[in-house]
Amino acid sequence: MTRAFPFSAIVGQDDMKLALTLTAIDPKIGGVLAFGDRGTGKSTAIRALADLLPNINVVQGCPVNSERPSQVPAWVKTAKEEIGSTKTPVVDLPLGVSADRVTGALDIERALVNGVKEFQPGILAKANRGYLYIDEVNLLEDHIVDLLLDVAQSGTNTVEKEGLSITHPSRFILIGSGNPEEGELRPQLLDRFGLSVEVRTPHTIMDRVDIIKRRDEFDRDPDAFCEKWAAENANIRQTILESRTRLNSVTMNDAMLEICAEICVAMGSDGLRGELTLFKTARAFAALSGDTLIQNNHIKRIAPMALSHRLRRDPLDDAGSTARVERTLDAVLG
Amino acid sequence: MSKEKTYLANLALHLCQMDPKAFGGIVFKTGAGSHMDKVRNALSKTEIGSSILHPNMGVTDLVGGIDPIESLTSGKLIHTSGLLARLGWKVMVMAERLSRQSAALISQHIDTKASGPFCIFDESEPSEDTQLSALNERMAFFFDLHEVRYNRFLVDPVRTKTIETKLPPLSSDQQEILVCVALQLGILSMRPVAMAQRAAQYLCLMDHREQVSQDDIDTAAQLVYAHRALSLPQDEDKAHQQNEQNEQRDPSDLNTPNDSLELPEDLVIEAVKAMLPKDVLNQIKDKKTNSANSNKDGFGLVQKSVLRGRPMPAMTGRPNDQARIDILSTLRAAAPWQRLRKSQISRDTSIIIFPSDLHIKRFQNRSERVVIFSVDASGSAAMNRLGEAKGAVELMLAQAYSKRDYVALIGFRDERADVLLPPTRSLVQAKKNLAALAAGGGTPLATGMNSALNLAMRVRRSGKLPSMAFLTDGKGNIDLEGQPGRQNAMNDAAHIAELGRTLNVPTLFIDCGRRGNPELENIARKMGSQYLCLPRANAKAISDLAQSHLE
Repeated sequence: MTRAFPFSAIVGQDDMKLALTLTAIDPKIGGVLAFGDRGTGKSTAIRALADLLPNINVVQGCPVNSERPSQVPAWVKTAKEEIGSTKTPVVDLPLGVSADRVTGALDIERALVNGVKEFQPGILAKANRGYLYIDEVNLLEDHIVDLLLDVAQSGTNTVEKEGLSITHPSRFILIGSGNPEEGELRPQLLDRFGLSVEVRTPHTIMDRVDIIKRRDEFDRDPDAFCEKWAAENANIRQTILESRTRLNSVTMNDAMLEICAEICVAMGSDGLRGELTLFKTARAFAALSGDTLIQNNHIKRIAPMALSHRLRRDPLDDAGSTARVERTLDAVLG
Repeated sequence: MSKEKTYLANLALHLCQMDPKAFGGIVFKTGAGSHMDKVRNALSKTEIGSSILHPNMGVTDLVGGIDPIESLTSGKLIHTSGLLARLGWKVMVMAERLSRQSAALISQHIDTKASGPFCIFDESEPSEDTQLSALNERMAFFFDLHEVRYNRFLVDPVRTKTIETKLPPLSSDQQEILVCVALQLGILSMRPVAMAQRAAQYLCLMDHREQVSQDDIDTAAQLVYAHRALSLPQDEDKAHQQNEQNEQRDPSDLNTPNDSLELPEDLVIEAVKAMLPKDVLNQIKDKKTNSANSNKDGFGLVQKSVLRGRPMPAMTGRPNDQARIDILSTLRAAAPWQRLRKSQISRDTSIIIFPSDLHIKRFQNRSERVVIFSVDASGSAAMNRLGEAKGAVELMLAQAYSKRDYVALIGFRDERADVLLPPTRSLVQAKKNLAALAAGGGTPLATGMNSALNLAMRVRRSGKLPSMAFLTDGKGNIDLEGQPGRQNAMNDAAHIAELGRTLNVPTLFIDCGRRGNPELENIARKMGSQYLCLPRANAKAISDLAQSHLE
């Protein structure tokens, strides 16, 4: 694996970096959907995140990255007693992947060689407690999407085939990227993403020159470049950790809750998921900003990314969904 | 011109081979023929060798997987490595038939793993738009060989020159030039800029110089930017252009004196322009309004329905001509019982398969439909009709994700019919293209029908199911040649209708005149299609009709 571009060295893309940071602070927000043109650094940012995140504790040899030995599923035979520390898993879901590889299936090798029936964990097991990244998410085959929806909802993966009956936890943050011009996403899948951001290429020449310079520097000598940005990356990591501890002390008064509800009603976003995400994201953002009370300005900053993909699509309304969210925000928040 | 192109193409091949990671590869637009043979021949003689990819290769062929036959015979799991993992040149033929999924799969592979350079042959018709799929975006270079004479086109067997020295840095000014030129040419993606920078560095190294020169920048821009250009700065209006540039720059970099940069930038743009064929200059304007910076999406990039069909769990059964054996499922079914069976049947086979283990593959196969709307954009009532047709297209697209339908729109007026919206499932793209539609003028009914039929045939060739809906009052008054005249116009339309009947495309005529037009009904009958009179059609009604009648 080649070295990841340092997260802190990414020029611009504030929305995407913020969204990724917020989900790192509170994984319960759900995933991030990054939509935008080609060559805007979507993949770069997401792969960079892996490098940045603090390590997690896992039981050695456990295929589903269990935190404590008591959580290791019964079918796992390879788990050891000791607990090690490893990077937060970021697992790629390649397009064209088979359903068997996603959910896991009978281990053919073991069956062939030893004549035993044994479960071979798949991508969903590897992604547990980490990130599942789907590039070009709108090109994913429908039956794989169905699979993911089910697991993303329940947090557990159940495999019933060939006489096997296996269950294991699979809680992951779904990160998708894609280009809306190549086909739309099903609303059901859209709704599963907590946040959505639109990614555009920077338009100022200075930013663009910066990108080119840093990219060139990185390509020539990745190690030196990462070293140069290591301190910055450590800063962000530290901020994320501090925000995580602050998260539970952040409160929201009833007036703000009402405003959240009002925004969602005015926006016509379906279901309660919108409100929940709005609240959780605002809380994470407040924690990130070092505040303990959620304020109007927090809501204002994060509402577009929490809600813009949940609006009922109106084929005859030309305004972009972000514009619509902002319009409503101005009306409600004044 | 062609000599220049040959030189640049060779240069590009060298560059790709030196650093496949940075450049991805090269795209040649050419038919099967001697150009292709020359390149393929040359590539196979290179030190790294070449292997052929074709667009119908499955996932296992490309990225590898379990080799069931080897596994069966050897009694242990054998993996195949897949073509993408090989390091030599990867030559992709008939790339215009590559499905989006495969293209994305290969792109992912390029992004994440080391791979050899690609040489992609886009064999689509010269007139068809160049595809810039996710894959092509990652290919630095592109050459249209249709205009290059065979005997002028020579490809050296590419010699590998491993360059160990460090790449020379570009000066800030040079980097700025590359960035600015890309912006002026309407290239928004950052990837080409990075590629151009790398190309300039290698060009400098190839010449054994230590400083990247203006020439390197020119050539790099020619190689990487020319085919991506979406707009050109107006050259007849230099003063205006300069003003614009000043405006553009002012907010971002006040500290750079503008004058010092004007010249080299212009030089680079001139160099890029020299690479553009003449007609491209004219097309650029259309491209820009139609699809902005985005992909030129549409045909060619065909999706195979066999792949798109939903694979269903394999079921037990006997393989025959219709049903293919699913070896993996069969193996899986047999595998757990091997020890047991071996203890019962004392035979010396490595794997024992019973007839009950056999599984066959099942697909839920459904071709995708393309509904082609052809709208009469003539005369005074046109705005209304066009508006409703646009509404219908958008409504259908809003449901497209569940129906798997594609929608296309053709408008005809005066003496021409234009494909306003190539088949698409993307609401975003449709809105962009539908934003500005002109109306008014005569009714070239025959031309409109002809154009729709042509599109339908192209759709059918690409493996999808076309159907057509015409929205007109049927009062044709311009014939196929573009000459006014009611009688000729209707005769031509009838003629096309008869032609159309033989092609057997499900068709619906929606008469939106104030009263039903018997002539149009007649044409519809000649075409063997349905006719509906709907004087006050609205978007919803049209969309519903098209959905229900064209099943």
